[in-house]
Order: sequence, then C-alpha cells, then structure tokens
Amino acid sequence: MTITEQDLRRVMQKAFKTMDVSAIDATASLYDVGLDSLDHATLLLAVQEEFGVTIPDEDVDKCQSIAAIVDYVNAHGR
Amino acid sequence: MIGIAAIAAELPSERISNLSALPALGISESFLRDKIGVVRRARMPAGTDTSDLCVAAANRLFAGGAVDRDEIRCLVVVTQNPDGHGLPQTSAIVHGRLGLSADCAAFDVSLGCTGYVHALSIVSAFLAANDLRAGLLVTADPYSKIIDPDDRDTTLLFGDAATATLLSDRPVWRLGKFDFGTDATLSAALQVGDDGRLHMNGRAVFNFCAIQVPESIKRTLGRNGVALDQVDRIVLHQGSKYIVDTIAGRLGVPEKAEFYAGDYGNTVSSSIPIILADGVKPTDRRVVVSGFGVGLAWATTLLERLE
Repeated sequence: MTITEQDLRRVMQKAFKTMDVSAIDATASLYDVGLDSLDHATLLLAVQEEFGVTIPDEDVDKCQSIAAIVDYVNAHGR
Repeated sequence: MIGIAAIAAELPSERISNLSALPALGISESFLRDKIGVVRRARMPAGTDTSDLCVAAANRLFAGGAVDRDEIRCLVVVTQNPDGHGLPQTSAIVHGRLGLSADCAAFDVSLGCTGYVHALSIVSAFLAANDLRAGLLVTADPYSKIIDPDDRDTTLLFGDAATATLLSDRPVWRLGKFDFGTDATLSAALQVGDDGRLHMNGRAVFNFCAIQVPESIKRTLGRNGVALDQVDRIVLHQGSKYIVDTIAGRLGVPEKAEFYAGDYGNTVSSSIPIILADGVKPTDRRVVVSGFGVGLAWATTLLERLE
C-alpha cells in the first residue's frame, strides 16, 4: 500500500481537530509547527493504526515531518 | 454480598511544586499544566515509611466509624515499595501497629497502578471464600523512594499517598464483573533498574494505555450488561492528564473522565480510591474504575452505588 501526503494530513487532522493541518509545510519539523513529544506519540500511534505499519522506538527520529512519515510508511508499510 | 463499604485517603500535607523544576528539565509550563497535569506533588514526611502512610489511612477510616477494628479479618496492603526489604510483609507491620485481631490474615499484593482494582477482586473473593464479613484493602506506593529527580520522564509525575478501603457485607458500592490483562512483552517499559530508580519508556506506556484501556472498559461494560451512556463517571488511573484525556477521547466520552491529581500527582495504586473517596458525586450511580500500568497490565470493573 502506498499513501500520499493527503492521506497523512487526513489522519493528522483527525488526531488534532483544532489544528489547521493543511497549512503545515510537509518538510517542516513537527516540533517547529507546535507539536510536542506527546502529540508526536499520538500522531505515530494514529499512523500505526491507520496504515498498519509498526514504528519502533529507534525509528521515531526518522518520522519528524509529514513528508518523512509518508516516506517511512511507504517504505515499511504492508 | 461483599462490596465497598467505606474509603479513606491519606494525602501527606507536604507538597513539592513542579514549577521550579521546569527550567532545568527543559519543560514549558504549558506542557506541565496541559499535558502532564501535575503542578504539585504530595510527599511523605522525611523519616516516615510506607507503613506510616498505611496506618494513617486505616486510622482515618476507623475514625469515620464505618467499622470497629476488631471486626477486620483480612488486611491486604498493595505496594511495590514496602518497608525495609519487604520481609516481613508491610501488611504484618501495619497489622501490628493497628492492633488488629490475631485471627486477621495479613498479606501484601505486589502490583502497581492496577493494584487497587485487582485487590478489590482478591479481597472480596477471599472474604466470600472464607465466610468472613470485613476486610481492609490498603494501598500505599510512595514512589519518592525510587524516583530519580533528574529524570524528566518521571520526576514530575508521582506523589505519595495511601488509602484504606473497607470491604464488607454491608456495602455502599457493589462490585461488578472484572476485566484483567497483562502484556509481559512490555514489562521493561516501566521498571526499577539495577540503580534502584524507576525507568519509563513513555511512548510504549502511552501506546499500551491508549490501545488497551478503552477496549478493557468496553469489555467490562459488556460483561456487566451496561451501555457506556448508562455510566455516570469513569475513574481512570491518574497516570497523567494526557493519558486520561486520550483514553476518554478514544472512548468518545471526554466529559465522563477527569484528571483530578493536579495538586498531588500520580499516586499509583492509590489514585482510584482517592477519587472514589472524595471526587465522585452522590449522583454518580454507576462508575467504571480502570487501573493500568506496571506489568504492563490493566484491571477494570464497574461499581454500582447501593445507597
């Protein structure tokens, strides 16, 4: 399965209902656009549940932007 | 029928503010207030130990007049931070200091944040199996003994406290059917290391709680034949504000589960009975209680008010 940036933005918007996810630069660090470590954990859990991919702790640092998460899911998803 | 007859909580008066620790830990005040949720932590006085908290909670219960101490036939202490090295069991020390009857059983239960809900099942079953009328369930797990003050993952979370719950054949709360579970593949996510300090993989614990606890609550409701909209309140273990909000949000009932522990912290197995003692309202007739954490494990049941 291949996912798109829009697929990820949809999951992210569902997780963070008050955030305007469409305005976030895909390559920007999620921490620079207002997420904290707990928000990041919430997003990665939503990604795992939605796309059936497992993101181990050692790969969390590879998932720091929208574009990076899309690339990760496409490389590791089922 | 054995159920909960009375609950008393012992919160030490000493508080440690988390605000002054924030700069050194690199944590913002908004993160502390909105996500961790714990602004001050209760701390047991220097020179006191786990049994002191237990005795204080039990004496507070006895002072309320719900039971005469001579009627107690079973004393269970839930702790993973016992007096000394755990031998003798802290419950035996508490038994002696309370002056309980010689024919009162006393044993410890080694469980963390699930301990209260697990022990409700243990004590009620023990009393019923042995035709006993009254037992005391005490929780006390002062994590100040094992916290590294420089560990930003744990140092702002935990407070010291104890509770005492009377289970008897004259209950105020009826115990429903339970749901229990353990995922031992995640045991290392919350453990005391060789350095004697608590270590926590916050992401692993968060994922476990977010996934498992809502499902445990749904199973518990199913086993008790109650729908979620028939529940007045959900009392969750007070791990952090964020985990309480997350679980309530995933259940779709954010208004039914609150974070209460901002002024005293995560008190481990005491977190649920503290709320039952002082946080639930007389109009709360059906209350789900769910503990989760060390193990990693969960334990959930439904309480129904009888009076």
